Amino acid sequence: MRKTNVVHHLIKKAAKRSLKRGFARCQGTAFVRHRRVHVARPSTAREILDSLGISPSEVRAALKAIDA
Amino acid sequence: MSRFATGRADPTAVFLNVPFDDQYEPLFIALIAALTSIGRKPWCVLELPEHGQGRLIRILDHIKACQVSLHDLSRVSSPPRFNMPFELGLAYAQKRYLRSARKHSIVLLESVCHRLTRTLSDMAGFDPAIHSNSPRRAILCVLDSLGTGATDPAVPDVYRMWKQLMKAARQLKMTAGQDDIYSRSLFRKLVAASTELSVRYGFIPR
Repeated sequence: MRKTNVVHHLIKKAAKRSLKRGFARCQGTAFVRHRRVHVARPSTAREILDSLGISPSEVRAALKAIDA
Repeated sequence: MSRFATGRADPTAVFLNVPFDDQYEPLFIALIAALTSIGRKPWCVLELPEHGQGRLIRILDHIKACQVSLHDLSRVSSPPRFNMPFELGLAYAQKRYLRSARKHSIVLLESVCHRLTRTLSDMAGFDPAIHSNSPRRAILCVLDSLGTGATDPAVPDVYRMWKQLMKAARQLKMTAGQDDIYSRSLFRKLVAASTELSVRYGFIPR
């Protein structure tokens, strides 16, 4: 078996194993295609600002800097 | 409620363990731009006020509260910076020994190919993403390792956003009368600007 085939085979095997363990299918697919470290739902702008506790005045200052 | 109160890591929060120096500023802004463009929350030790508990405790809390930590190990020139490898060790130890941090992911960044095998051979098996000290490459590294798939923005689009964010950062520094962006207030305003630009570019919903 060629080296690339071996790698592909191992990735496929690992993805199947993760599917068997009850992971969502989309996560399994992401693993096969990209082998990314983590798949999470993207946050909205509001969630990002809230997580850092950024106040409306700081947002206003940021907007001023963007539009300057 | 404090983000540390639940004891559970935020799946979209990314702890930035990077050098806070002038040369790194464009890359730091590129990392923030890339993270917000894919709906990730950039956290770093700068944003927490010092209440006398010491920086190390804040770093530990931060790493624990983030599902992903991003460690830039490119500062190996003289004098070498030991902070980044040390914090990488803390992140790895938490992942290894804390039940609540088992799902923690570690992303390594370097500027030179194959150098990590000589500078930190204990991390053999962890392939760092190489940014070559270029903001465009740094954006690519983040999107490549933390993107969610088909909905990810394109690198040239995020690069355009980075250019605009650099201008905003210069403006923020000028208004605050500071020489760099490595302060709590400027970091928070920079994240706010990056989030707003991500919305304007259509990368994330408001």
